[in-house]
Amino acid sequence: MPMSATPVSTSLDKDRVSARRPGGLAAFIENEANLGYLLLIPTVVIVLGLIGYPFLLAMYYSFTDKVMAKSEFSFVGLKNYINLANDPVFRKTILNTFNYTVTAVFFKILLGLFMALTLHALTVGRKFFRAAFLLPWVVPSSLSVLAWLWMFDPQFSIITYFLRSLGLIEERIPWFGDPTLAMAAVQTVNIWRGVPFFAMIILAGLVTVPQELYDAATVDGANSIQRFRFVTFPHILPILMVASLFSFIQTMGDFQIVWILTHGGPINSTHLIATLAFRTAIQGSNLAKGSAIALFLFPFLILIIALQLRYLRRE
Amino acid sequence: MRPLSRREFLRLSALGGAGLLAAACAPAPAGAPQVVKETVEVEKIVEKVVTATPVPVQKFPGVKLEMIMRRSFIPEMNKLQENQLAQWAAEHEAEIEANFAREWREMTAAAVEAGAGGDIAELFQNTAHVYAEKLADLSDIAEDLGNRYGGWYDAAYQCAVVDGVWRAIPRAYTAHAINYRVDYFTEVGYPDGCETYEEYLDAATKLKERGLPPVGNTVSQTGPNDSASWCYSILWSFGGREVEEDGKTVAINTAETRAALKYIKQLAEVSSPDITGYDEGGNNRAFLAGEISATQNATSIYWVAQRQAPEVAENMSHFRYPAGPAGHQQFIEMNLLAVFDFSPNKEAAKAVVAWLMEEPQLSPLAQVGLTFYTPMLYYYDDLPNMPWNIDPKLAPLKGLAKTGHLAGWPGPASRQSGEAYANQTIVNMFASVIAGEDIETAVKRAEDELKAVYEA
Repeated sequence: MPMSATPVSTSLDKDRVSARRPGGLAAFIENEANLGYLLLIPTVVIVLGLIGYPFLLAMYYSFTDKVMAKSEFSFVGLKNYINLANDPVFRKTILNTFNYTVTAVFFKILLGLFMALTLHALTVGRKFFRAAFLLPWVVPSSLSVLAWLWMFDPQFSIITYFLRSLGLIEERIPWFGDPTLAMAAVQTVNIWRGVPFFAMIILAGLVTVPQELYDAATVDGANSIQRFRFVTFPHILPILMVASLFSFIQTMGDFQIVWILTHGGPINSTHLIATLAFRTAIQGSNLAKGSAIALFLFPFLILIIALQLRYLRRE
Repeated sequence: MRPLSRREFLRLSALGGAGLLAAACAPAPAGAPQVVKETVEVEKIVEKVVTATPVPVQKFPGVKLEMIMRRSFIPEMNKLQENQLAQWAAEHEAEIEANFAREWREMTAAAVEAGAGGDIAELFQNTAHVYAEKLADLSDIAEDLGNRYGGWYDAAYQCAVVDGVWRAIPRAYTAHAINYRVDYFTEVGYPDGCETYEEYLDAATKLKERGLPPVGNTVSQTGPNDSASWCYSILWSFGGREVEEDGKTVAINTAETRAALKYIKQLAEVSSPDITGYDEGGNNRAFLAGEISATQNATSIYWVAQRQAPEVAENMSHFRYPAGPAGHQQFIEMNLLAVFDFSPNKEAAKAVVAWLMEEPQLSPLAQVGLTFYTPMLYYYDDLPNMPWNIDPKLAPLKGLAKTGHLAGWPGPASRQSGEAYANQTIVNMFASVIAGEDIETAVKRAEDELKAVYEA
């Protein structure tokens, strides 16, 4: 039956061909480059929809006199930015933001380094302590900050209670009534929350330092401080730089800690860019001014990001 | 509502009636004004109050309404409103999804700006002016209610009427007063409270001199509502104002403002040192803990004391904010109901708002709310079952809105007055003087901040 055998053979050949060279959607996905773009789509949609669009809209609003619920508004150029430059509350907020950020990041690096070196040196219970030290970073800040709210309560602060019990102070500490103490309080919470992040990043760097280098340094007569200075530190410096820059940007945009603890008070002494922008745009309904506040430091942050990327490329 | 017998009262209170009953039965202090006595049982109100609802005239089959509502710290208030709305939905063959949220203001702002995400919203303070363009005209409902319930307080017009149109219905205001310890104030010669700010300063000074718990009036950024209530009221009572009646000319830099600041400085020197650090509940906790003798607040202290610290409830009472050289002027917190103009179900939404404002619904809300939700209609002043007509300790809060104003007064409620309020410019001016800044500097800075808002 040659006539019937031929078509069967042809059909099988076609199946084999199609298995090797799929067509249509299957062929499109089979191409790795196409699949890559396909898998990127959800991220692109999320980034453009939830970050890109609001960002561009805010930038647009910052050059207008847009207020909430008004459909009519007009272009005012740089007026909002110029007004902000002369606004005493905004100027104070800029100083607060730098004070908050620089101080918090400095202590996060210092304490994170200390914590990482300690965890690295541990031989017993290492996993337990690593998990325990991560808790401040893992617990949702809205919850942990509420606990801090009670610890700084004017009447029921456990810190005040402890110090009074030890006889170190007589009066209660007005944590949120004094500008300096209020700033110290919000910085403390930010540091407490951020130290584990630094510790884990630095710890990851410490693990990668070759043991031979320590051995060689020891043979050369280096003491522990010299081993840290000439072996450990150069190895963790790149990762420390990246973590610091990342933390700098994150801390500068902080919101929850200050909003929950002080609302920017007392007398605007703890307002950060984010809290002032929220107060102005949402509570004060001045969307244009609020947007300008939020974006005022954008060029500065761009510079930070550029430095970060440049450093990463060089490394 | 039928008055309960004492036996019924005791039985119902054992089932969970709690504080309001205790308040209703509390013995009146000597010399207290005669008030109508009637017992109130919270659970009964919450569950059964809506039996007297009129028969609905129009049904809305298939309609689903979304509401953004303020979540009260009084659970019964939320429950009562949920019950009322469920009843309306059932009777009108509609569906209501009410979101009682603590972030109701932010949610409303987002809905307004997006032009979607709700049909009805509870508004706060002056926001009817801010959102006017996106709110439906409710003039017919407001005028009808005004005609049938004895007319609106002036403050109702201030907060809800924009360019001659009612953009919201002033549902209620939260009455603030001085919460004080009667026992301590009796010791210093003011058993019934103080009539003027000078008397209040005198009482505070004597409390301090005798080693009694001092007064503690919140002036802080972390307690924005209590602080605004106190600072605006003092400013106005001393004749000061942040802006002129035109709503544009900043007028804070005056002798009257300086007099108000001088007063707060004197008062702070004999007050608790914690006043600039209290959050919204800080003064409540201090009062309940017996650390302060008086503070400005709504009746939440009394509400909690009745349930958790009956000895404090027994020893405390209220008096209205004192009067200053410019008389008695009081800041009030407004709560309004509005219908979004972009709602696809405006008629149904308006029907809900109108229904909620009728006595069978509003009266129990005022009862359960213990002056947190005091109606803005004169009819309720003398209604026998209102808390201020039942409990002598709440009697001073009756009709406070007659001298009540919104932020920005005597200028109109506006977006700018709302921004100045959000900026806490007035509160911070007072707080900075308490913190030691000289009055001239504080006034000048406040003037600059206000000009940035009103004259930008």
